[in-house]
Amino acid sequence: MVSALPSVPLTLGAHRVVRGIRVEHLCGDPTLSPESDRELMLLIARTALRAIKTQVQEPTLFEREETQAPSVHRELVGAS
Amino acid sequence: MRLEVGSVQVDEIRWGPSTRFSNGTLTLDRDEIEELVLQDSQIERTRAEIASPGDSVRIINPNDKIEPRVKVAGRGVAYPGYQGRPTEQVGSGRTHRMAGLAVIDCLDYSAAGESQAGEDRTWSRDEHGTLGNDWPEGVSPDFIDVSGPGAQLKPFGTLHNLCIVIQAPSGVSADEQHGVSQSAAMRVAERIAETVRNVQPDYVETFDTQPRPDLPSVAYIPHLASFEPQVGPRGRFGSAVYGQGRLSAPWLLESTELMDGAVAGSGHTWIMANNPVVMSLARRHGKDVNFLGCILQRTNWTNQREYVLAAHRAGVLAEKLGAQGAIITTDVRGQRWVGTMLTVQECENRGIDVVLLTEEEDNENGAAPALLFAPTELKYVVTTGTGDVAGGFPAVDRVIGAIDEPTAQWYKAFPPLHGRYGIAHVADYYGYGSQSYADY
Repeated sequence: MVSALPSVPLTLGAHRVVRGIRVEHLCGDPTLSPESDRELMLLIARTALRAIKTQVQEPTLFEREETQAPSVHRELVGAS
Repeated sequence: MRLEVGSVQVDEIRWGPSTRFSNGTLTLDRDEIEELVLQDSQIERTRAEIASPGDSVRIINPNDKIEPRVKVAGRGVAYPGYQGRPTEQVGSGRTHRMAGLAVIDCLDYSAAGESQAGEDRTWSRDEHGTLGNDWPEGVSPDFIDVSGPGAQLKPFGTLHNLCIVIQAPSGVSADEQHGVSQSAAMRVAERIAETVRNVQPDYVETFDTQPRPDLPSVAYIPHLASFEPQVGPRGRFGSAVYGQGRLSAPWLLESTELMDGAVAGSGHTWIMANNPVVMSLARRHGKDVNFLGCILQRTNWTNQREYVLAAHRAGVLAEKLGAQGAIITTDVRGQRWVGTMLTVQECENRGIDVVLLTEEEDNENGAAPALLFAPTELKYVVTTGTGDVAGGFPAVDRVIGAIDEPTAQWYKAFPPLHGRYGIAHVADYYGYGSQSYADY
């Protein structure tokens, strides 16, 4: 499950949780350029694929591996 | 800060040739009230109506609820910053309040339509049907009965209410409609409050916020949803602090500032000026607690890291103030609940004992978790009840809140309500209802 508030699905027992961007833009960031937005979306999708291939024993949070353009770090400071 | 709050009890409200207050009776010149509303050229139609406790009346489309208050001494104006009012610091001097009275603006959207696609959904205007199949079609959960079992759940069911019915202006955003409506209600409330400026109050309470570090130190941390994600930083909708509704770091306010209406807007105005947590702690300050003040935590952040940051900042403030204990409340549940719980966690981790005051979530007959997310640090919870209306809502003779005749459905008897989460008929975050902690 992709969530901007991972505490909720983790509490409710979701097996694999991927951190999303925002409540209203879960898998992208419209403040980025279309190219960076697409990269971010792909990064989340890849993280989700990695998660689903991983065996877990308890509800587990998967962070995306931010090896892409620096623009994805906007999530850390992004007050909209 | 030192504030005298003089309460003038309103026992009766009626129409008459002039607006005045005498011996517990508020007489209102209906034409004057309606002309005040129509001062704003965006408002084409309005009607003033009265609903008193025990009347067979249902109030629909309620927006904000304001208790008329006036500063008779000291800096600033009551409800500072509200829809553009002056923002000088309040909370000292003397204020007169009209106890037992509320001015409610009823904003009727039916003729306005959407100014942009999706607006009805954003503003929950399409909530019809959320009450379940046994409820009449076209009835939304946000109404006020001033008689019957439902009247006991909200303070407004026990008050004299002056309802200002306003036809929402067309072609402007929902945010602007709210602003127009709330401004009109405040013009009326301000006019009415003037009638008690020179009246001897029925009783006067004096609040002095002078620190008393010899006593156990307690802070109050209410969480207040910001509507910045929906309406932008300058939006006119939502609860605001001195008029500022934006997402921000937590604000620190004295209890007396809240008594002067420094936190107000969009349905919160009456409640926050009379907040039972603030009033109880302020009355006990210097007796058995040292009430440090209110840390106002904004919510509606857009992801968990933002919520974590906000929780840390509230924790830093509480610790720096020297809080040994904190009372925490939430607001508009859903994702806002996560922010509330993170503040609880943060305070506990800093050695501050937290009591959470919250309503219960039981609308799924026990199938849903009682609390959406509860960290292990959460130790003490006090309930404000379930919001159940066991006896249902009797049929009413009169419905107030629509410019034209409302649908016949609104006059009908409504079945009992079970649970409150997601229903939004009662939202008692602070324990002002008859199901509050006082009963337990």
